[in-house]
Amino acid sequence: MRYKIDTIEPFWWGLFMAGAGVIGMLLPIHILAQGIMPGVGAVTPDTMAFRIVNFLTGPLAPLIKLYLFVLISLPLFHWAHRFRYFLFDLGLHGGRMALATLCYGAAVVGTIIAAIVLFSV
Amino acid sequence: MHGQQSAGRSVGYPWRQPSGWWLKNSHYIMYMIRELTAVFAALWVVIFLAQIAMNGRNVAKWSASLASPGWLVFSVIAFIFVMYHAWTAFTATSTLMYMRMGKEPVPAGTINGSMFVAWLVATIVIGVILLTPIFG
Repeated sequence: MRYKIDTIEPFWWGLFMAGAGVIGMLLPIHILAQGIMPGVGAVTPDTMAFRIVNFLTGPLAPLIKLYLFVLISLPLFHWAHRFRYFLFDLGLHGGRMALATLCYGAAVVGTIIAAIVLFSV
Repeated sequence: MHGQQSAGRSVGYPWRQPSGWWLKNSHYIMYMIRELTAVFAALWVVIFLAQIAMNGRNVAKWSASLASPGWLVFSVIAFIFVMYHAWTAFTATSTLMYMRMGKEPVPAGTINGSMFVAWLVATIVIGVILLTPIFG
């Protein structure tokens, strides 16, 4: 009798939970302030645009970019894990390894792109 | 046994649910909608990343992006889904975590409440940084 213990699963699950925390705790105010308030006139788009550029270029830029990296990357891993099981719940049981590779691979690629973009901006 | 193979066929716990199982009960439907919240959260951060890549340090480009009706509509939809994610996560925390203070268990309301307090503090701090000229 042989057992294959899935040692990588806790790693993905840890990133999934960290992403859940970022989405719940940090993302709502970003969506509200950057996505909704400029569009409804609660803050002018010019003001928010100026602030974002200031964040990306000011003296605290390295710290802010690190924060943005976490803000962008972890929700991708949360999506990857959740979407994988969402499809499984819907009855997609074949190609589990391919599906996992696609989901987590997309999150890894997104994370690399985020690092490159934030480093180069 | 899970993962055990016999004659090339899994003899573990085979999936028996029909694919439409979640349509039979409103709680299951809400569960599946909650699963979808991750899609909107991920899409929002991906679009935000694309904005950073395309707009860079150009204030005029950022201003046009932020004033876009499409960005507003998608942000409103994403906000509803993300708030649903936050609400259900915070109210479920006491179910997921058992905590003790000495020999006494911490009441569920205290655990859940502390999540909302933490959320409120994070929201106010980030809101002040984003919406006031504290950092320029």
